[in-house]
Amino acid sequence: MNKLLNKTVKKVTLLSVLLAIVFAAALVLTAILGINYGKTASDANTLTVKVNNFYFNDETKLAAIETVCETELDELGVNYEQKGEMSGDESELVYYFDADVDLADAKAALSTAFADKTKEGGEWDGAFISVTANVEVLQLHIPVSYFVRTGLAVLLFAVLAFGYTWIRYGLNGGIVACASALLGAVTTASVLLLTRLPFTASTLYVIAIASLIATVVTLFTLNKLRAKKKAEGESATTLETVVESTAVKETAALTVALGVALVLTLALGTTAIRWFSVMSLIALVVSACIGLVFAPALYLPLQTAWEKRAESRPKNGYKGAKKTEKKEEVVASEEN
Amino acid sequence: MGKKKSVVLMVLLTIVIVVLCAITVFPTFAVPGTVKKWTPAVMQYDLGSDLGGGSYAYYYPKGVISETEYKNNLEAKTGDEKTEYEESYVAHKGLYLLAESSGDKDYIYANDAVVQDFEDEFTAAAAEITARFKAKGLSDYRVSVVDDYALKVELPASETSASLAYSYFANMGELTIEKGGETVEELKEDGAKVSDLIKSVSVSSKYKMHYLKIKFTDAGKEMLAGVKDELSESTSSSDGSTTPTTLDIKLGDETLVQIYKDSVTDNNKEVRTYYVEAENLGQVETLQVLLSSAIENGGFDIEFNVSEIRYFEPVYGENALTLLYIALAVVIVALLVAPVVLMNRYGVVSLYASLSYLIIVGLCFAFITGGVFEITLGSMLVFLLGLVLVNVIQYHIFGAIRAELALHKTAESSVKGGYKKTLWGIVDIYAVLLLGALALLLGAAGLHTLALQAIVCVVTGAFINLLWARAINFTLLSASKDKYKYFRFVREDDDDE
Repeated sequence: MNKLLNKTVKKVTLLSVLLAIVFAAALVLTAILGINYGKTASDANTLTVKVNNFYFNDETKLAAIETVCETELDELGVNYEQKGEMSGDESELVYYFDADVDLADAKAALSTAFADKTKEGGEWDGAFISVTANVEVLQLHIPVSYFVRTGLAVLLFAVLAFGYTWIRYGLNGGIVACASALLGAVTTASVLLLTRLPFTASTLYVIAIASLIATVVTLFTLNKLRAKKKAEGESATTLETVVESTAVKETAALTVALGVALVLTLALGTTAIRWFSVMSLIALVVSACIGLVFAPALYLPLQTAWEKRAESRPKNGYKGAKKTEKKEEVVASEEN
Repeated sequence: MGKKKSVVLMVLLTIVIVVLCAITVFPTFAVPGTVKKWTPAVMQYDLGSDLGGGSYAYYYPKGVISETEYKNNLEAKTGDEKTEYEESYVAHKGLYLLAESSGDKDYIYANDAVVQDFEDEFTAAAAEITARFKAKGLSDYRVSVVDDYALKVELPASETSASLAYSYFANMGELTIEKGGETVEELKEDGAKVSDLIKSVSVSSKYKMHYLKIKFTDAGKEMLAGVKDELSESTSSSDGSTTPTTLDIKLGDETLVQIYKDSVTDNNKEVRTYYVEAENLGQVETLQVLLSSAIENGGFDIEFNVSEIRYFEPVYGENALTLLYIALAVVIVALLVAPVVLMNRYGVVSLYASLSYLIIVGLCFAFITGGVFEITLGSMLVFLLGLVLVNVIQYHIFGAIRAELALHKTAESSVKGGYKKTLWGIVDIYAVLLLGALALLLGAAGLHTLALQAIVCVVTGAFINLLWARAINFTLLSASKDKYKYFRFVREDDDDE
């Protein structure tokens, strides 16, 4: 890993260009194709099968009705099924399709199939089943305010992270933490938009959490860097110091443990959970890369420039009245 | 600490953790000899619709009925009545629209087209209803137009006041204020609106009670001052023969708020009413959204009939939650075992730390104010991130202790040194994460809830890594015979010997 870091730490410009390309590609693609909202958050054509509760509440009978529906509808590509149960006699099965699927024939076929089975003396005598085809046009996807407020929240976090880290690790530490917070979120959002995975309200959670992960990884590194410099008494920040201080083990532990957890939920979860797990895995890898690769690469030139500037400053030996007083006191006490 | 004391303490701690784990995760069962049922904390979460399903209802404007209703009504009729009914409606996709030929004044279909006024009014009302549900700040909801002239609204199962929201948000009437059944004088003038009297409506809380705060404009304050003395006290007893005099805020024909004399503050600036406990916060929020919408946008010339509410399971499978719990159980077991394998007995500290995290967060998620803590997939991610981070930091501390041991320090000194060297780094990580969680509170709806959950996870993680696990490590180490084996560390022989 250190070999790879030795190469990447020197290439902040290249990394920045790569990130810029990802942002631009995501922007262009989204501008052309729009955001890919999930099937549950899209316009749809639906087939609604209303069933009286005598049949709806009997699992075997309901399963038989569903089998008839599935046989007729399978070829049309059902996106998902919704079972709407109510205490009155109009519980329903709603089958969702893409907005361009023509359901007229399917409605007719289903109506005929059910009419045959529910006629007097038929297989399902006593069942009242009716079929309607409907068009659902979504009033709104994810409200714009959700996007704006997520953006503002990440921005506020970046500012707060900058403030705290500046106090604790100096200005350059602050800048790197702030950049990690912002890039963690923006890069994850860009990659998710590029992959065209279904964008739901949960995607906003993933983007926000990616920002936190990238900053945590960066903080591990900043902390190790400071400890290393302190232990070895180094005044200058070298490439070796930065590479050796990069929190590879901690990041690996975090990524592997969380990654395994997400792969498990991916394997066992149902469709909605699977998409969420895939998005979370992407966010984890992207934010870990930002913290592990980009943050050290940004820190090194910043810190080197800072140190060079400090060195080139004229040293007049002035330390301020209080410090001088203290020094004098120490010298006096040592002499005594 | 002596070895005996340490062992006793660890046994007690283990018992407490096992009991709390049982409260958190032990599966549901019927309590023998009673009608009660044991339900673990993890089964008491308010789930979002992706995990817990939800409910939906259809809004049909007056003059619009579903195909099923039309056919049922038609079947019930015979002869001329049937023909007349048939001619009264025109099919439009899956709906039937009341035609001019019905002779009903509320017809919406004439001259082979839908009446333009109705179409415009429906579009505006649909936008307003959508805005009302949006203002409720739910993590996920869905409002769609069905077959051009009906609405379908879906809410998550965690929305405890769903039925109230369905019926209230369908009310598109004009807002009025009445005193004792008569519209107040200030609204009788031409062009006078409620917004001239009421400035804003918000939800406030005091002493764990939530209430509606209605702020009045200067004109509203004058109106309040004028009628205040004529209003009844909410506490006054009535013998049933007289009706208490109240100031009623009505939307259409429905009275939404009744204002008594003691609801008005002394300076007549505002009214505090509709007090509810935390579990009914959703009700007062629904009322606030409805009043704000009606004050801002006025009434609409359209009426909606709300269908009965239907309930649905998670759309992507009823077993979503069960499978998720199985996956999480495997993850948690892995996170309990892996540290012990990697770090020997110090890993046992991580095991206790993980269990403690599981208990605290599990209980907080279940019992911190109902409707506020909706569990979504984001909650699962933030929970897992916290759990993994607790273990990674334990591993980070372990690395620091081993580094100290490698310097030929004693075990006690190494532990002390390891903790000392990592302390501020860990404080920094949790401080920044806490700032992050607080910043995310700016987020809307589900993200806001996620931020609250993140605060719980961060504070719990910090407590465990900085204090709790440290105390457990101290106790376990005191009870350990070989403090080097404790860290799976082989002490190298000194070359000088």
